[in-house]
Amino acid sequence: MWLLQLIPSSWLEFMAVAILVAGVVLFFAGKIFKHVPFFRQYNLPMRVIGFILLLLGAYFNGGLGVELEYRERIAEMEQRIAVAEAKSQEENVKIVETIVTETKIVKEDTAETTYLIEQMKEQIDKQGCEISPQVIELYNEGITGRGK
Amino acid sequence: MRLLALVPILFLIGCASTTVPVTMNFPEAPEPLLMEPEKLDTFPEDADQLSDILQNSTVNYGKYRELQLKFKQWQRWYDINRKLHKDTQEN
Repeated sequence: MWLLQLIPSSWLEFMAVAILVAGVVLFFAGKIFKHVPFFRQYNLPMRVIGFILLLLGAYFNGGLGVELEYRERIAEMEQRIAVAEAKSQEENVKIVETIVTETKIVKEDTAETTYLIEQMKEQIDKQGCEISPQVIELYNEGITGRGK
Repeated sequence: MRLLALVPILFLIGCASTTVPVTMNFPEAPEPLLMEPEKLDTFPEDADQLSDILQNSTVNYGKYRELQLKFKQWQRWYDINRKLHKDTQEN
């Protein structure tokens, strides 16, 4: 049925009705021609072909209603998706802006604090609190993890 | 004539044989959220003063705050895109 999507809706509608009508006409013409002397010989092939066309026409008409409904739905879905993708892109831009702005603030904060520490270095270190190698090791384990 | 009963049956079979081939692409995440996170600085072995440890912690706290910010933005990105995806699925 997916091949039907390549054919325009108006063509499909026309073809489905035309096949059905041709089937009905041939089928009943075959029935009538059964009683007409010259055409009698053609009545069986006409009825057979008419019946096949009638069945095909019924199948296509049934599928066509659904096909057209789905085409409408597909168009609606595509429109919704386009809107959603555009909104998603807009939000991505806002997210990037937030990250850039706030990261800059965090970096400035850190730089200011490290500058203050640098300024107060003598005062801080005057307390005489020396960091032993064991403390450094434990401290670094806190940062990197113990590898377990 | 009894064979004509096949006509409505085929009509109904035709009704039931179509699928919708429309799907939404997976949304792209913003570039800064996909970057490798910075590793925390370890304390230099030759440093032994309280001010050095303060410097090191301050830099690491800064890195944590940057990651916290990115994490919050990941959550925001997820919430927005989940809502947008849900909106496209609703009738």
